[in-house]
Amino acid sequence: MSIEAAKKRADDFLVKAKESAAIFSQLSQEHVDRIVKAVYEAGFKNRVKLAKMAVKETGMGRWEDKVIKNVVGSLFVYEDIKNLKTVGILSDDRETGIMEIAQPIGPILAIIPVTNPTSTVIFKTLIALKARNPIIISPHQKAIGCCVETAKICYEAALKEDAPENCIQWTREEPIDFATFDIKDYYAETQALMSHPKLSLIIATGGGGVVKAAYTSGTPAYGVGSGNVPILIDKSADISFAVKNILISKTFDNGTICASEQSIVVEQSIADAVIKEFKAQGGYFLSEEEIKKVEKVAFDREREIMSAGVVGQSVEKIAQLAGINVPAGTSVLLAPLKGVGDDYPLSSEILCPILAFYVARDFNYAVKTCIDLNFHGGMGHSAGIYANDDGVIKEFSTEMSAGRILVNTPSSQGAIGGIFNKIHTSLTLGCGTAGKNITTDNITAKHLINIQRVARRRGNERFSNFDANLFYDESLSTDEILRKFNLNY
Amino acid sequence: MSVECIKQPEGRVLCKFSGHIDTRKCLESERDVVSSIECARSIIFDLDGVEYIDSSFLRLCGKAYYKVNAGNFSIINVTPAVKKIFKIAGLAERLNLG
Repeated sequence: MSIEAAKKRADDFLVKAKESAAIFSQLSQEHVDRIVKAVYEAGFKNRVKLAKMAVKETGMGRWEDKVIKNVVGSLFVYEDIKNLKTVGILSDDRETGIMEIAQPIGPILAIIPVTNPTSTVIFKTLIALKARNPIIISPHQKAIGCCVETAKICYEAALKEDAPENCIQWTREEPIDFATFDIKDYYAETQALMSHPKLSLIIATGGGGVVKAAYTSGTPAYGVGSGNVPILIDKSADISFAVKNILISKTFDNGTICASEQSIVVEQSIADAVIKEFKAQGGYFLSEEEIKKVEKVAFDREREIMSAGVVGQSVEKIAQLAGINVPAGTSVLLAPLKGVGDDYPLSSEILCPILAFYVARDFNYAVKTCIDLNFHGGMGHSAGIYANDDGVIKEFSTEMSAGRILVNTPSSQGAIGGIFNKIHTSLTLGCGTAGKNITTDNITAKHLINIQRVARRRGNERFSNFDANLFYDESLSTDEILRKFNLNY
Repeated sequence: MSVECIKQPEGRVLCKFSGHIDTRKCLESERDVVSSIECARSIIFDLDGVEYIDSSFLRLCGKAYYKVNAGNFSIINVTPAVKKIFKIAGLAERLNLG
């Protein structure tokens, strides 16, 4: 496809989206809330069908866990945003004289990842519609079928509640036939959409390439960063509970959530107890030789990132790929490592049931190891600690570069909110400037409105009573000016 | 919503709309409007008193616009709120919004 053809295609989408945005801007809060409720109900109703479609099409994860993701993307997101005011006057403070008014931002392009396809479509659609914005769904090339089906289900439900025409669009009708299709065309189409002047915002969830493309398109964007989540088990932790929760999280959808645990760090004094507990709960500790075999299949040395072939795969599949034997029923593979960095490929982010395992001399060394892991490709994302000592939790949290620090909580489910804590439910996790994002927030409907501030006149008493000519007088010291400025105030 | 189309001299047709133009009401009236403007040389949509429009009305504006060529279609008496809708949709200039 030529660049011109890609631009023309993008134009068709954006003309419709812009008209939809115009109509949307008239809708009342009550009407918007009816639409959002209908879309959540439709997504929730189809949670199992869509989960199975996603696993079948992408070959990643477990359908049972994808059902839970769809529940999070529909029910939990809905419960989080349903009472949020997104239309009209948000606040009016007579004392400051400031009134805040919500305005929709306009057409949003949603980049959908292969790891969480259907749940991310439902989630992004709900938050976009709640803020009265039309959305264009751009699925990962390997998840088109399930994403389009999800978008259609959402759109049909929205229209039944008189939502504006074209409030949900999708960039493809059918999955790509990779035998005849040049993937570069797909990238060209996405690029043309991203840089279209009528587009208001991109919400880019996916790998580093697509997020960077979004940021460099010239259109405002919420992106995500890569994670490399360290988990510190402190000696004050309930070890059995900690291991159980880590496994709940790391095995969830075969580890496809970017906030899933990547490394476990323990102090020497409790190392044996932790190892024993992991073994008791189905963890398998790899030998040095087995680590080398797993590294080869799990990490792409040339591109210096995880290998796509292991993402979302089961322990059995990974063991088979690596040519190692693991006991039946193994829940995760643990790799005891001596260091962090390029010489230790399993110290990087790998979205499957593999955990790096570190034993540190004491708490300070454990925190320092977590810092190394955190700064090795996971800055700004998430970190976790198991402890029952608030001082330890505060010390650890202060040293981490992470938008979310999960305490005594499975990090996958903890970071996306709604299940184990009260942070906003979201499948787009901001990673702050450290992760090259504008916010560390969990992105939700409140990020998709423009807030106007009506500023009524309210005098500054000191300024109105002060002779402003004194500011021009260089012979006066700062102290002298401030004394007069603050006199009788 | 109501609409009244008045044939005026020199092939001009004035369509006066009022009320809340939602999809259903717009579709109900569309045939009458289209037949009234069938032979028109110029068309004016008067939106005095219209406080809400839907996508179907934007399409109706498009039909009228293409019927008489650019410059011979205009929309008059829009409220500020409706003017903003046309501006957001990027149609205000093309549809000669008064």
